[in-house]
Amino acid sequence: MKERIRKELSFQLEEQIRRDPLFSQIRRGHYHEGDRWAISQPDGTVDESEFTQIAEKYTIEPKDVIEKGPSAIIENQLKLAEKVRRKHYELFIRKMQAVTEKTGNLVDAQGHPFTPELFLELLEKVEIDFDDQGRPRLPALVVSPELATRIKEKMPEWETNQDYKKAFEDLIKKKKQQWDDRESYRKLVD
Amino acid sequence: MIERAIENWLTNTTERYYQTPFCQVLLSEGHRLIYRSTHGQLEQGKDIITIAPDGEYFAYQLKTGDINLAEWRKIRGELQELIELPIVHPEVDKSRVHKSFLVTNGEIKDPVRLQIDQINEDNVRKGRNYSHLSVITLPDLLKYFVDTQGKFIPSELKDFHQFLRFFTSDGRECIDKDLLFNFLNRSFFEEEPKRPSDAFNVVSSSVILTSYLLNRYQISENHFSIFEAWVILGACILRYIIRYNVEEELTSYCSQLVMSEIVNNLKNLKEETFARPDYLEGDLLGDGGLVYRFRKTLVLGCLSALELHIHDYTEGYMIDYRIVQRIKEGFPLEFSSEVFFPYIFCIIKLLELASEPSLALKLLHSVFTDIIRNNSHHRDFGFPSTYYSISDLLAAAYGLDTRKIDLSEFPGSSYTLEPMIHMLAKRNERSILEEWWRPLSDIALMSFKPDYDEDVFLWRSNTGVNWSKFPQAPQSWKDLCTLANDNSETPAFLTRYKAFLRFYILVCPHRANVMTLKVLGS
Repeated sequence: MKERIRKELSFQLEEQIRRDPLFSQIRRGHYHEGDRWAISQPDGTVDESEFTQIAEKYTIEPKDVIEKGPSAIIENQLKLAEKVRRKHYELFIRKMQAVTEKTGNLVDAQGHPFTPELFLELLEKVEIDFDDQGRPRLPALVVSPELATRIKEKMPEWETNQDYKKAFEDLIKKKKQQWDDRESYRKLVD
Repeated sequence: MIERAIENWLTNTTERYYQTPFCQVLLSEGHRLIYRSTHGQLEQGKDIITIAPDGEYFAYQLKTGDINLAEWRKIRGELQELIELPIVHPEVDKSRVHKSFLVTNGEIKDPVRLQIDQINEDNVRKGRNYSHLSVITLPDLLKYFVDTQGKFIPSELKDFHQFLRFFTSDGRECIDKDLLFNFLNRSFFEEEPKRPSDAFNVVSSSVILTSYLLNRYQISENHFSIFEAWVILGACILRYIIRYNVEEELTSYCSQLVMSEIVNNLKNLKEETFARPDYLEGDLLGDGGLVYRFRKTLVLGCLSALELHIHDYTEGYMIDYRIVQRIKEGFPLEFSSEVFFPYIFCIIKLLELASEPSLALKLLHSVFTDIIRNNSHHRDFGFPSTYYSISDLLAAAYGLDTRKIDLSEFPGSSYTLEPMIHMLAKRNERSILEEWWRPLSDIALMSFKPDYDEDVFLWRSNTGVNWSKFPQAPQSWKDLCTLANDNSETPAFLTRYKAFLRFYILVCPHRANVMTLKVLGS
């Protein structure tokens, strides 16, 4: 019974982390053996990395367990999930920074406020895919909660800005062309 | 306790199942095994023929249970052949008389013993050049097995608990592969052998223990699980040999015993399959539907592997077309998870061997397009990988355990797509690859490479790299064909164990990768 409760709590903890707006958009996978993973890039280079452990300690007083049973742990679970989620998040940002530094896909705002121009500059740096109807699959933008609020407030204003609208449409056209070029390479040749 | 367990097994088993450990006992006593009957077919009254360390010839006939006068009258003809007919074998001097043994896991009743004494005396008195008949009964067998088992008994409480879990299991379920790998490795194969005899003793004991570990599965005639268990032991032995550089000559007879158990159990499965009109098994409650389709594909895959094996190692063997017919009747086969791929691979290979290339290609095309359609990057759910067992799939499908498999993990990657691409390229199937290259180039090709070669024969290796790569875009057809036909990077040890590998990928589907399938496809 205790083992089942432990498994259930562990499952719920993972689920809480997966409900994060960012992590819910990232596909999860399991490795069942080994101690490393590696990605072989099309240019022949290999990115290899060891598994990183994410752990968080927490303490529960015996008196709380005596009084509340499993609820003592469940009450702490939200806090624990938040701590583990943060660690996941930090790891994710570290990895992304390492990749962007390596590839040069870095935009430095140099302390300036987030503007439509900066957003377009960011989009310029990334590959954008399109669906079967030719609609862009725009990437997720990871920003602080404060900045997210500011962007939401500013978005209606940007959308009515004809210059920005035109620049955005031009960029998407360009990205579509790049995507078409990439897609045209995905074939078997002699 | 362990003696009680052996005794319990010994009194409940049949000669079919105690033959292998008995051979192992003889090998441990220094005998050289030159013949053992397979599948109950006696050779001139002899189940086992050996040459003892002093050069004497020994012949054994194995029976089950008590032998009273009624039973004695039934088997007397076979026993006459045992003692009267000389051993016909290239290594045996026919002019020399062998020693004969009637072996049973029961008792030989007094009136029968009396008759045996009389026959022996009569033969001597009349100067007949016949063999002397001795008997080996339950207490003798028990002593042999316990002595040979020696120090290799599960001593740790955890190991003993695991031993009992197998020994007292229901016997009708699938074997817990993870548990069995762990148990065998911990009980026998962890320690480095100090002397060559250590390695021999370890392997001998493991063969004997596995025989009685499978007690309940033998009683239930669960041939599939027994087959899986012997394959697992075979994998543990091979890993031990490679890891500690054990001279293969030392353990080759034991490995042959294991291999013959693997083959014999598949022969039993084949016999049972053709004795039945369908693939239903046991209680009808819980059978049918998915379970039925899964079982049908597993059985046909196993029988295909068996046919391929016999064909490869028996000169002039003609394929049993009843299996090909069953495959044709069995279409469509199950492919809702990558775990079925090794079975489908064997079926494809058998169809090719049986001059059914268009059917083989149809099947290959079907699994190839299925995996691309279902594991496409943009799908919400995909086919589970080779790391998830059939039991996991069924538990998930029937809602018994919905947490072990998360189908949303699988789109965008595949462990079996790369071997399929190579198979198609080898068969010059350019048009289908051309048609599907665009969607497939979006799927990551996954594989695992352990740090140590021998860990290919582990259920799960703690060290090693999980590789992923995307197919080339564009991909040169010429380069792809070269790659698919190039075996230069195949490790030599895989080629050496090709015969075993065919069965191993059925039991450990996650080891069915480009390398192993290249060896089996060559």
